[in-house]
Amino acid sequence: MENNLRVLRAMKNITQDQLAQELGVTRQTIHAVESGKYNPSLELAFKMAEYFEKAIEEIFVYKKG
Amino acid sequence: MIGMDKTKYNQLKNGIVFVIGLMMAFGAIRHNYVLSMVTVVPGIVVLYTLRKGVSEVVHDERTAVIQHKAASRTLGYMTALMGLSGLVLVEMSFRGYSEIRDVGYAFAYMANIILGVYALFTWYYGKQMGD
Repeated sequence: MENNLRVLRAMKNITQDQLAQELGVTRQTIHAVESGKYNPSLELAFKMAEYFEKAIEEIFVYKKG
Repeated sequence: MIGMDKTKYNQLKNGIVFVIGLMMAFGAIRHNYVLSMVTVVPGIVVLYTLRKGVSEVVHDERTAVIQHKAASRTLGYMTALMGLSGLVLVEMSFRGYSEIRDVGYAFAYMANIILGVYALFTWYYGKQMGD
């Protein structure tokens, strides 16, 4: 799974810490998602989509294999 | 302590865990298991209370996944180790070390009990999640 979280965050000009606070998770979780080490739950993915006002598919890109 | 940041919380947590470990070791050396218990229980309560006072998020879905994986791995390794140790001890007890037979059986039974409890919880959570 790939994602555009880092780009979207940069466009909003917010830090990982600020995004983490907005979403109620740790900064390490945001870092892990951005670097592709952790795939968020559906609930967190929806929260991210809502925060960035995007569809989930615009943030996360499913890659087979 | 309300509104404490994560760094301060981690420092306090490490300090408390160190003291608990120290007291447990002291209790074990002195064969004073009451001392271990009276340290562990309040220690857990203090840690829980401190965590509630942290203004930042310290536990989220990722930390839950990490804890789940670590617990699962620990259970697997420790149960296997306990079972194997039990078998080795029982086997050795028949070769001239009869005093360790009970310990061997205790280990082996404990491994079986842990596996039984694990199977029970797997069944329970499976039912809760649609099995």
